[in-house]
Amino acid sequence: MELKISNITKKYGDKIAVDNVNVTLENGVCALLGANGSGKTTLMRMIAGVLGNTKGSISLDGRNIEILDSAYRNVLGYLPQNFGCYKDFKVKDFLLYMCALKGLDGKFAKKRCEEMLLKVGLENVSNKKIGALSGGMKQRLGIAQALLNDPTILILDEPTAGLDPKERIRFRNLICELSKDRIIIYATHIVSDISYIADRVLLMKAGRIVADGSTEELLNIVKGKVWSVDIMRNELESYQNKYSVGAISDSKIKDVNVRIVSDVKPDEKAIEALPDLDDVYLYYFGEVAEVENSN
Amino acid sequence: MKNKEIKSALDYYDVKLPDEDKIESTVLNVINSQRTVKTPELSFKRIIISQISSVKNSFWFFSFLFLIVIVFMYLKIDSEYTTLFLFSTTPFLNIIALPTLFFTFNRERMELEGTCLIKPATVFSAKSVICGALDLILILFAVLISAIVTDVPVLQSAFLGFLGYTSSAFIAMCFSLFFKTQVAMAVTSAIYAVAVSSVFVFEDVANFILNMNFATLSIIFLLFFLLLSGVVYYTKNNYKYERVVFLYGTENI
Ligand SMILES: Nc1ncnc2c1ncn2[C@@H]1O[C@H](COP(=O)(O)OP(=O)(O)OP(=O)(O)O)[C@@H](O)[C@H]1O
Ligand SMILES: [Mg+2]
Repeated sequence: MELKISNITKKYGDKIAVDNVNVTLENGVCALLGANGSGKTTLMRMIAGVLGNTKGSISLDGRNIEILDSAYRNVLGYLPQNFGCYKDFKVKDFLLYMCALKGLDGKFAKKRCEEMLLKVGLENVSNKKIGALSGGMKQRLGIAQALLNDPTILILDEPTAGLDPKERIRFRNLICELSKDRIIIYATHIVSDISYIADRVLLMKAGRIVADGSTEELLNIVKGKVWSVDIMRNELESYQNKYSVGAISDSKIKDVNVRIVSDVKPDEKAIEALPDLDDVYLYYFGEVAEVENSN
Repeated sequence: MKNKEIKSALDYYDVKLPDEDKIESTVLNVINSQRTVKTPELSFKRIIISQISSVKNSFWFFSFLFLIVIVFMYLKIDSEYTTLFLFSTTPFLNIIALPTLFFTFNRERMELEGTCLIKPATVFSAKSVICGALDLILILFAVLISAIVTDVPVLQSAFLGFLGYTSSAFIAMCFSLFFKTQVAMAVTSAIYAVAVSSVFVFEDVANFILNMNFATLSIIFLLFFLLLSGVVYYTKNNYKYERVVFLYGTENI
């Protein structure tokens, strides 16, 4: 399967939210990494077919998704970023309602709902109102909902927002398990979520794709540009002004050890460090990626 | 030369290309065949049946209440204005149907439901058929009671009942295009209240309506019926995500 996004642009008035994006997605997990406001959600909405684009086209196996229409939506699973409505629905009823909208048969729908509740570990709250669920539980329900029709294209907009570390790992395993024979598009600004599961990473900045490749390929970009330096605490500010400073940790030699991404060696005593995805993020965004629940 | 011969030989066979629908359904089948979940053939009838359960409970309740009120009033009121009663009660049905029809249309729900096989616009059509059908039955029932209790010609009261219904439905739908459901309900109720009171307060208005002949009545009814069909059709085609973002605020992110 091949999902081709050609010259997609979205403008809101004068503001360009997504700027001439060109990518062809194949089976596997594709991570869309970007800071707040970089246009991830806007791009996902266009791929999901809910938001019209200003320019460009999206096609699945050579067919425009607007022409495929229901055939396309039939293979689509979508978890929107804000999943806060449906408060008055019971968990079970909500899933059944989504089944109805996804065209699933009554008997089959019931069975499928139970399977999905089990899969995301919500079988004990199936009779609770959605409004009474915790944030993480809601998110899991959103994932269950997206999987009901066994989609071949799965679009997840910040799916792990609000999940605790245990659930994060569980979710990562679920994605791994699902990623065969499917296109999974996964938007996030949390690097650790995708570092082991993404077959491909797209880095998005101000509506554009600024880097595109496998994790290794992206790490190669910053190879030789990541440094570890021991400095005094009073030097920290001047370093932060001059360089992109990543992780700061304790140092045995001086006050602190800083991780710096820079084209030039920042200090005589700086030693080259092994790059990770966080450094790539830092290199492109000049700021530290959000680390959530590092346990 | 050889190519031409082959071509002419092949021309002899008439190949009929299947129509677009068939091609699409093949594509759908191929895509489906690779998945563990298969989607059954969807007919509009099936969509309607699936939507009956998601019609708001308050809709059934208030519709039932409407029926009781109609029966009760006909048994109590005894004046020449009884017929007008039909004209002025049927708009009530629209106000109770609005939340059911437009319930799906908020930004968050549209974002999710717009990606499903059955689109919100189709859900809207299914629900308007459900509400419309029930309202039709209720109005016919009211007309029947009117025919039994009063000596107004059946056709006259039927036309009046449906005129009240279609005209107010048209107004309600128009407002729903520009305002949130609650606002549309409030505005429609206000217009409806003014209309009803004017009918009962000003004798001229009442007499005018009572004395309209069949031809005028049916023309006005037909006019509103067409307008209503038009606005329902327009609504169905216009409830896209962007439209709802416009109606329900642009807050995003
Ligand atoms: N409906 C809208 N009207 C106007 N501007 C919008 C609208 N939706 C998004 N934008 C703008 O488009 C840009 C991209 O927004 P988008 O929501 O796609 O970012 P994002 O990468 O998903 O951010 P986040 O990480 O916060 O979810 C933002 O600058 C935002 O202000
Ligand atoms: Mg977003």
